[in-house]
Amino acid sequence: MAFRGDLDALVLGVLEDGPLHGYEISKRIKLRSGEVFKFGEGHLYPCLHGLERTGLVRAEWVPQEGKPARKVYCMTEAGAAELLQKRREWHKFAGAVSAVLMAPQTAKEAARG
Amino acid sequence: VDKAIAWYLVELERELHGRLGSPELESVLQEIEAHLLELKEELMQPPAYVTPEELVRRFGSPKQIAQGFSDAVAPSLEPHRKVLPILMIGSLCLIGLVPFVGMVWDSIWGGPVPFPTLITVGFLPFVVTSLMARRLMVKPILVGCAMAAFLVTVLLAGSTYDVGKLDGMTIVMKRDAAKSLARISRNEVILERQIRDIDQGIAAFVKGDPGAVQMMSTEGGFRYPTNSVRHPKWYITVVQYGVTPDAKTARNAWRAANIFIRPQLRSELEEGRAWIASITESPYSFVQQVGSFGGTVVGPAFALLGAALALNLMVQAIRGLISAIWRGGQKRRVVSG
Repeated sequence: MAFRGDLDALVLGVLEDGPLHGYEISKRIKLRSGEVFKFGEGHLYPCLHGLERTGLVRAEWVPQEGKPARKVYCMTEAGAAELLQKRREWHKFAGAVSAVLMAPQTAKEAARG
Repeated sequence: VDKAIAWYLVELERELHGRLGSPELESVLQEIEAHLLELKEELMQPPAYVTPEELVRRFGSPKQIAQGFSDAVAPSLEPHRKVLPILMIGSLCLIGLVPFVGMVWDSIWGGPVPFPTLITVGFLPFVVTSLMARRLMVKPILVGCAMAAFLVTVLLAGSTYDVGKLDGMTIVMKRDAAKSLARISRNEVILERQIRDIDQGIAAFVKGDPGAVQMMSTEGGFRYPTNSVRHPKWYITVVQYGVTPDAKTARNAWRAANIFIRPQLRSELEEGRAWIASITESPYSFVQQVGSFGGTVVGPAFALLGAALALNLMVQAIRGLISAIWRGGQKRRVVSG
């Protein structure tokens, strides 16, 4: 079992809040992760492109005054279902890693108690 | 920093060219430009100062981003990857390298297919696929495959031969030349039998053979002899009078056979005999072997390759034109906005 497509999952997770443009998506991922995820922001666009092609997100151009138009993304129903699946995979994966890494510590605490 | 952004977009466009379609490419560039401008505004807030290098480092190099797009569109290339082997196998079947396909060709076409047609059938799928390919790197690979397929075809099928309009063809493969020669030889035997039959029929009629008179009085007429090679008896039964001809009509029909058809058959037979007689040691000594490059590769294959490259360049030029028009429209919209 593996948690695949990490960036896809992160983007879908952020888009759950509502429609966002690329720059805002990258900012929110960094903010929510406490600056732990420091990926090249440009890598977000191939990911968004792929999600759009597979129908997990929908995009539309929104004009801005005095600035270039922005492409705003929102999650589709298929995207929401995919996010749910990713969450399940992550819980399973994190639970398994936790069980392995924390087992000696838990045993020590039990022995002390 | 603005210069760095402009340079970045130019580099990215160059890297993405051929990986994305024109409208898609324009859309991606516009989106990334908007992102970079916002990133610049954020990073230029005092007291921070951003260098162009920092901006590029934070965003990712154009090459890396382009590679990311290639990976993202990779699933859409999957159908092409599946189609390619199917096209390869299909063309090999059509060419006849799969043994039983030759029998099917024979039954449908009644003989082998001209070599230029085979080359076209074998080569064209690769050319079409190479034009369909979205990544520039794929095109030379596919054109290479086409050339390899052509060479393999020639090597497996043997050399090609110029048979001088034999069976209506000029350049055929070695095995097809053998087939054609065998068929011509068989036709000579059939022609001989036809002449014998017509001679016997005329003799029977002259002698007043009741069977021959009866037959001609009910089913007189003739068919052009070259169409009756496989069925030598048909030449007196194909044309139906509809009503029973009188004895005079039947006699005239026999005379026509004697005057027109028999000499023609004889002439064909003599020509065929002389032709077969000229083949002494082996059937292949008659046909002239074509130089591998002179008669085949330089001809149809390179003509097709040239046409494919010309078509490719034309497609690129049209794409560039559409892209330029599209970009002009985008800029105008931005300025007016």
